Amino acid sequence: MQVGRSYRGYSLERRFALLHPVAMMLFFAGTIVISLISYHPVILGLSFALAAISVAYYAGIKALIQSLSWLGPMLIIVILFNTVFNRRGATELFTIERFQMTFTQESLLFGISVALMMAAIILWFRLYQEFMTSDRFLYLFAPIAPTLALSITMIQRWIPLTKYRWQQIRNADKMLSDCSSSYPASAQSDTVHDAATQKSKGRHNRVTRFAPYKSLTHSLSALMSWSMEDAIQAADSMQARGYQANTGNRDSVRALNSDSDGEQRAGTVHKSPSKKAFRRTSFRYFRFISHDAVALALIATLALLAGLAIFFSTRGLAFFPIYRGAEDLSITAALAASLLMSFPLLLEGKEQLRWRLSAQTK
Amino acid sequence: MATIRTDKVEESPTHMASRTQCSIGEVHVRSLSFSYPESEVPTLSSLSFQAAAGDFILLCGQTGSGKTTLLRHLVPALTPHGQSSGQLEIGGSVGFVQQDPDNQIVTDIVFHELAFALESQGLATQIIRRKVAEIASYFGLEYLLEAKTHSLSGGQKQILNLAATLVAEPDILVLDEPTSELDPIAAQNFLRHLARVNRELGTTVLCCEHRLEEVLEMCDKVLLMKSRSSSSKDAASRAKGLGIQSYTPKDFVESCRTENQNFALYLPEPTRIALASAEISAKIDRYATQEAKPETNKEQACRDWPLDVRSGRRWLKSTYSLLAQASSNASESEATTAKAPAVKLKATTIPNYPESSGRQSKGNPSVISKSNLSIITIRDLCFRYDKAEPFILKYLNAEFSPGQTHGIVGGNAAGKSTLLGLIAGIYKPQLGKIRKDKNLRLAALPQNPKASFVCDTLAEDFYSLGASTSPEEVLQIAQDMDIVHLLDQHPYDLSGGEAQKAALAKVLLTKPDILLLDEPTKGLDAYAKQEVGHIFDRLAAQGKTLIIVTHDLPFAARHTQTCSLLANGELIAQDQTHNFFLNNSFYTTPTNRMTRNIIDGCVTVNDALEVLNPK
Repeated sequence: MQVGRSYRGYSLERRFALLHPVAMMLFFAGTIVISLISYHPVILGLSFALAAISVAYYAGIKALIQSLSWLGPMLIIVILFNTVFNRRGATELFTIERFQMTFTQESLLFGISVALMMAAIILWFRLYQEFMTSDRFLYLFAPIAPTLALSITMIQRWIPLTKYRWQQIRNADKMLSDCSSSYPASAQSDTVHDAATQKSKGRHNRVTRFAPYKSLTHSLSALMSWSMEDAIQAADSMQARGYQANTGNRDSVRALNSDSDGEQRAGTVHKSPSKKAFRRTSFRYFRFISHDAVALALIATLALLAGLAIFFSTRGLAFFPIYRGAEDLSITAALAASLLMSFPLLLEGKEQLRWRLSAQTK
Repeated sequence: MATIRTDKVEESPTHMASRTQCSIGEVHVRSLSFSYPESEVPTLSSLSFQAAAGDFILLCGQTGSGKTTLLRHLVPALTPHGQSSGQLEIGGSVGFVQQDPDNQIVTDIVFHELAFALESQGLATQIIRRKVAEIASYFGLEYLLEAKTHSLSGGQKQILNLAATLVAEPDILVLDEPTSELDPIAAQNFLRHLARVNRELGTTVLCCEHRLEEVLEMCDKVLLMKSRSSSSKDAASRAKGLGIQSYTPKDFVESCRTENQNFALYLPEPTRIALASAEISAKIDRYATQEAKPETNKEQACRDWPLDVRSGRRWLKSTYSLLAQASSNASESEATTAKAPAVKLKATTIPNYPESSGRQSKGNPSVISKSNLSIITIRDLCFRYDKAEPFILKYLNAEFSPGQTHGIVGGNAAGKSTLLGLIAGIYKPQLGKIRKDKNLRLAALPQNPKASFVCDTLAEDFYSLGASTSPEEVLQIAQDMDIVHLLDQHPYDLSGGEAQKAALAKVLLTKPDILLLDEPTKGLDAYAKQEVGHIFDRLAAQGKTLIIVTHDLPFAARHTQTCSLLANGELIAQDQTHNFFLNNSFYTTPTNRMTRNIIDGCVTVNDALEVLNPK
């Protein structure tokens, strides 16, 4: 039996997970934007390192290794691609005479920077995935687009259901086809059948050669009809639970729009859903407490500070024709960026410290 | 107060049944008739019944009698389109729970599913959270609130559906075969929740259900829909059969003895035994009148039909003592005429293989004779789905001998379906061996028959198996399964029993030697079950080996020859079916539990009847 939270990662038990979704969203937005706006090696290195540490801390070292295992080759390709096809830059590394190709130091550095930025951003998104669960996402966006929010939940319900059905259909098909292919009498009855159609050998071959694809298309069409058939029941279940009951009768809706006591009737509305026009509401709720306000202010300040400082102090950074301006980064920029990006880790550190201290006082 | 959708009345005002409201929780249906568009015969004709507030009403009737159509009329949002007349008075809002647990769930998280109805009503977030918390604790779902809906078991899903409907506080709850997709234990659990809602909240419940074993004792009223069923042969009975009749549960049982004999099969096992032994009371009667005994005892024994094992045991004891008394009286007075019951009563232990179990088991006295005969041998089988998960099967050993029907029973998630998948070769064992004869052909019947149909008509589906399928074979098997009249239909339009037979026919077209069946009785009513059971018996008689995984103990008791319990990843107690159930005290058939220590050696209804009702 599946128990409550077990489907989710351990990371949702951490302090950062208690943060209000708005603050959380701002953290991810700030971090990712700052990683995007700057090609400065220090900022990129910081971003990548902190992202990697955070992923390792929250999702586990295995998750980090898994991400890096496919990130690594991809980054090498990006670096190679840049070095090979980017001919700009003044400092020549070496030249292959035969193809008249010149490799420059600048294009290599640029390739590494782009790769590092991609890696950092992908790792930040990995962390985003860990914390921005569907309910947080929907809490943020349901008020803006309620239909979209409901559609997303329904799709999230639909995907595993469809996977399960597909598995059932494939298993059933596999069993049947296994059985009919190993059917020794089939050769005999095939000849009987083919004698009638006067195309003995060729037809048989074609049947067996295309059989896998045929069964696959059959299964796909079966999945379609099964899903559609069952979608009717889902629609019934939604209607029976009052979905769109408010739009069921236009006259009453119109009459209600002229009603003034809409708010007062909210309590009795469940007895007469067809009598009142209203929007779908949402059960999702995250309380915004003082801690969230402090965190939000901190994140906003740090993000703003880091963004501005990086923008103004690294304006001189250029890769081509000669790499220059890397030494311009201000202390403020580096400090603000590192504080911002390590915000979740600092939060956990604070929590740890508090536990230690309270344990000692006992 | 009623949630009435008037838009449908506007569409065809002359052909709609009038809808009005009455006091909360009541339902009055007066001469309701309905026919679907382009259908000549009416689906419902002039039905009338009523439900008082707080009633628990059981609706039963054979497949195709229009139960679902009637129930949908009670739910304003789901009223089917067509021509109708009559009066519907429904007091208050109506909640509706359907058959399939999966298809009714709309959202991905349990919390959201519970909130869905309230969100549709546009309630404030705080009110929604409070009501969801309330309903979750009422149904004991708190620990699942954050869980993904797809990770729940079938039983949990259906209870979630009930809770998600009840959260809107309906005054009337309408359920359309809510337990037919559940295994017996989950079904029992669901029905107990339902009874609790009825008792504790006073919600009127209208439930269509063919699992009468559970519902009969909890309901106040039984509504029987007489159908114009295709099975009733003569046109006269079809014409007059239409309509609805209302009984109290006890009257319903009584009527199963007389006018509704074809419903006797639906009754709980203790009731069936008591009903079928009604002749005994006649015999007692004969002896009693000779001795001029007062009528009261006999009257009581006859009228007060037992509905569960407890009352079944009481009934059996009293009947038994009456019988003994009668037979002793008779043997004193007139030894010759009263010989039969007296003799039979002495012989209370019947042999292990009663002829009544309908099998040719006498030919194979040692069913699980050692391995040289076994067709599938499993040695030290270990399996798990994922490295991170615990082993589902641990060092499992089993042998299945040819030409027999083997049952595998066990609790939920014990790994029964997994074991079938392993035998079928869908999964590969991590450890251990499954030895099968190479020349043998295996075929598996999936749990949901829908998974095995891929075409638009049944006939097409059968031919889709490959060039080797000849029309003669198809026709032959269709005749065997009694589905010839269904060949042109879409597979999804078939009823549960028909679909099961069609899926079985498709599997049989591949001419398998070994048939693996996963819960073949799921969703079937008593009749369809009996039919499928007879088909299995026939197949076994033809020399096929069947391995049936099931929750349905009475079915296993009747139609298998060996039975084993899968628990803790092992097959425990593989034994001859009769012994298997006799030696179990909890995991056994209702008949066995009812007759235990009163009459020995009874596992199936027929076993008991053989003792009680000697020919």
